[in-house]
Amino acid sequence: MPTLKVGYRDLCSMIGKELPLDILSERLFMMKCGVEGVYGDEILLEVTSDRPDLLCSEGIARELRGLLGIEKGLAKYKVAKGDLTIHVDESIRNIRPYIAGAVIRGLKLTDDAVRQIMQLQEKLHMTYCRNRTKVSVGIHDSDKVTHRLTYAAVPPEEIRFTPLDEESEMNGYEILESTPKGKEYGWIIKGFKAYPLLYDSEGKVLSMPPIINGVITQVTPETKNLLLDVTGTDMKLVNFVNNIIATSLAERGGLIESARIIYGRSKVLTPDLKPNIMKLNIKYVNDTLGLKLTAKRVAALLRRMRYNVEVNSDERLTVFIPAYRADVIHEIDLVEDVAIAYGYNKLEPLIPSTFTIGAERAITRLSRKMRDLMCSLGYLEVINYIMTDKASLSEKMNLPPQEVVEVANPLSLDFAVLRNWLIPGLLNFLTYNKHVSYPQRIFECGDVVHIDRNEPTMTVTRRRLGAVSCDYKVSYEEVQAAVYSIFKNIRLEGWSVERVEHPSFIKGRVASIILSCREIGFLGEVHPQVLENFGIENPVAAFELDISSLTEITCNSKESP
Amino acid sequence: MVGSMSTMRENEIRILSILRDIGGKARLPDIVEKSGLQDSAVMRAVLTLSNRGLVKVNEKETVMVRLSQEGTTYAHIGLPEIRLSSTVRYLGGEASLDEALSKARLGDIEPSIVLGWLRRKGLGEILRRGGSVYIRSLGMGDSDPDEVALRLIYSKGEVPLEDLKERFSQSVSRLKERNLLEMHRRVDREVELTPEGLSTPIPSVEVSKTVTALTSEMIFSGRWRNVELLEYDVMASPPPICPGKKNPYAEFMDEARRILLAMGFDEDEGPLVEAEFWNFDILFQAQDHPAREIHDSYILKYPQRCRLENRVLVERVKRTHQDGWITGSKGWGYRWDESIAERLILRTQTTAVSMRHLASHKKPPVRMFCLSKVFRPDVLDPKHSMEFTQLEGIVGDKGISMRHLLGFLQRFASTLKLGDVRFKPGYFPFTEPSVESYIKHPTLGWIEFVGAGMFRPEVLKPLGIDFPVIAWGIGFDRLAMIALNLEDIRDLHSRRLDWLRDRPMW
Repeated sequence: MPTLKVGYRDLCSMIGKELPLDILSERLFMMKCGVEGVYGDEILLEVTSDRPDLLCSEGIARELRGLLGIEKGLAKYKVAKGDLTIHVDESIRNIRPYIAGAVIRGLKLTDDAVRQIMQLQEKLHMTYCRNRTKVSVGIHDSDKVTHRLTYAAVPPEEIRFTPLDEESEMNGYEILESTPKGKEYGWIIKGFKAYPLLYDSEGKVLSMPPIINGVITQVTPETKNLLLDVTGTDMKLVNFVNNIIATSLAERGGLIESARIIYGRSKVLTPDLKPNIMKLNIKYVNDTLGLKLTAKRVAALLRRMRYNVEVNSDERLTVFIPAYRADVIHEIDLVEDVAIAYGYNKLEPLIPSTFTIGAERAITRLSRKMRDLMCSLGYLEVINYIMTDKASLSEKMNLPPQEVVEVANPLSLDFAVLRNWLIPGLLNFLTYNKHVSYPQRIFECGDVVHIDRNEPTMTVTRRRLGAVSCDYKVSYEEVQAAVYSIFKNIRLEGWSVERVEHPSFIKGRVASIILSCREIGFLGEVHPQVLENFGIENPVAAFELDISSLTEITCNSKESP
Repeated sequence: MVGSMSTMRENEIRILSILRDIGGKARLPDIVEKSGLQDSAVMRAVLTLSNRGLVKVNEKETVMVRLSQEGTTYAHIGLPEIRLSSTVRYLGGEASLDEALSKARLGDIEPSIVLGWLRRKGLGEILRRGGSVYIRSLGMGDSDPDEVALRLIYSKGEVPLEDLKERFSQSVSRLKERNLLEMHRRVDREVELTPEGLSTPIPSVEVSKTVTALTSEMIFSGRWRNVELLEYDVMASPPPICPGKKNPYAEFMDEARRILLAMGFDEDEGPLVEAEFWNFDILFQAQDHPAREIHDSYILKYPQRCRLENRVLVERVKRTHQDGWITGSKGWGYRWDESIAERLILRTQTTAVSMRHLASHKKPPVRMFCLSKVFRPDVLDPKHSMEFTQLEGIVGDKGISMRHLLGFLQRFASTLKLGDVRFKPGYFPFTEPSVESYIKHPTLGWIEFVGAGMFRPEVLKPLGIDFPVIAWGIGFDRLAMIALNLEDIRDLHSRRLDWLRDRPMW
């Protein structure tokens, strides 16, 4: 979840009411924010990722004013017709086709205001704009350029301007290669023959989206009026971002002037702050929340969430949705806002009256029995990770490379594949405990994953029981006795043991356990080469049983206990 | 010592003669081996002999150095400042602080500490420019002596401090300061005959009529009447027993299962290797949702793709994403790509299991839980793990509402004795309304305990479910850590045998 910093005093002044910090925290907790920490005047907040409009103190204050009843219904913003025109050139169509903009006049750029704008821009970039790929924002000093702009794709060698934070003019290639932002975001446009560029009628460059602004329109303490450019690959998102920033700045007292965007023959005015409209069924609200609210009450609650509402009947409302609310796509989203305004803490918890009997899985039941038996046999239960290193499963076990599930993006080679058997993990455990007193008898009951092309997911998860016994002296007989006793106690019949060869075990001291022509496990004394590979200095006897097979077989053969 | 001080017991005689045989001096483990006696028996006998002035026990201490869990992690993945420095180099020698920190994936380590080490070691410098902070890389850090020392200790398991003094004395003190090393004293005992012990006549074993063990032969023959049964030191400690027992984490899982079964929930499970379709698409998570990026889910090198067999469901999900289908939603408004949905990943949420369950249980009431593993890319450290357990539950029925959701969460918390619960609005892509629930921890304050909500119509309609379904997912490991009083998440998968042996049952 995105986090942001807001000033306590700044927030209170935006709310228009001095709220004690604990009450403010409580209020924030009951909306989609939470206080993570307080450092002097600064509050660190966490905001859920569905609400990009709450990524600044302006947006939070707007929401709080509603919840506190200070100001209800749609926030009113005047959009004046401005002189800003942006011609969108045909060349940009397949690169980053959409742009929106606005001019904000008369804004007092206090430290708080600047910090919040910068933070809003940064947080939007990171979250809603998907790291600038979908949308990116430039904020400029509006008075440094003419207001007749062109948005076009220009070959990198023809681009020439001084980017923000740089000393001299650069071309498009140089910007991608040698500026920090170029290195970070260059990959978004590197593949194109021409890069997006926004420039005025005198050729002054405002920005090279989504990488960097030009130094010429840099916002300074002397800046009086701001110009926004919002570009991207998704028109809906571009407009939401433009609306969020423009209305936030208006909350601080700025006057919004629209920009005329010209796409060939069609023209649009941005920002377009006309509310979206949705119908809301009162029964749906009450059924979902378990309440009995009247239409009037629901309408009042929605107004506190800054919607305008018309009550059509006892059954239905028409809801007018603020143009900065990108998250409302279904009636259910309005229902949640009703619940927030009502207060989650006021919803009385209920237990359903329907009676059901829970059943555990057969495999859980059998696993538990086998774990109980293992404990009685003196083995200690351990739990290893399912992710492991590739070498432990095969090479270190004296086996040829095996087909295992392998992740493409491991963060450590120790956890790069899924185990396909348990004994290697148990041997690793022994390696780590060489200095602990013997005998060491441990077991694990856990999942392994095998490749299986007949399964829709190409794999099959199997429950296994694995055990190792390590001491100055151990024997095949010891684990054999354990296995036989387990089978006897779970009433398994008709199984047999067959001599096999298995490179992980000593020749002639390893056997496979067969049931219904199927191998359901194996046991033996671990090969000294394997012990050497794991750095284990005492002999080890081990066994592993496939509980999944046992469950399938026992469940089919004896339904009644 | 109660008992026959005047006569010598069999074990004492045996040890005295062993010492004479091997030149009057031996290490304790050697005596144990030669005598074939238990450690504790030898210790007891040596103590008696020493009390009688026949032997002298010399103790020698060696300080041994070994890696802490943290140290072991760094031996694998490298020290954070070295990782940060190489990330900065990889980013071109200079990078913004935020970017470098996030790309270096330092997890929960306090950045100021890492930066402190970076500077102290001359690996980089911190620059401030235009309100932002940058790091510039200065050195290579390839053969950082601290890292060399870490790996050396790791490869040997345990090293005498003495052996590190010459090459690594500074590294050792730095690593110690960072709690990456653990030191413990190993005491070696050597037993030496005193002049008296050397000259005292060794009695033959039959000298005393005192008998240690009562045998069946003695009972059968009545010979027990003619012997004196040795009196024990009943207050001495017995040798330790390590019983077989269950893992505390597994026991806690069993407990949670019991509670859910008692609350009427059926248990279910699904594949660990899952199609993105079941893990994300069916949950109405857009295909460019950040959770689907490689930073947040494990994608597979092998196998990579699966078959999506339920064509009707696939078509409905596609339409729902694109334009909302008949769900009443606007959808996400993009072109849905089946080849993305076919990709295999390691399951990142057990909600995938709920979806598979609902796909095959379309008649109300439905009550299911799943307690199982999920995976997300992370570096293993005290607070993060690449695999962890989730406890998922769903309840679907006609007339189910959000108040029932709160009711279940409250009941579950009270059964587990987790104390007060409070609820706040949350966000999950597949539920609306969404709830985060917090519990009051005695020392940590309010902590998040569960994420929950009611499945969105965009999730239920394509599955053909026409009744409301409430759902919740608990980060079970955190709960387990609270219940088991653990502070390091790695202790849930502890590899320390002595620790597991010593821990009382849950």
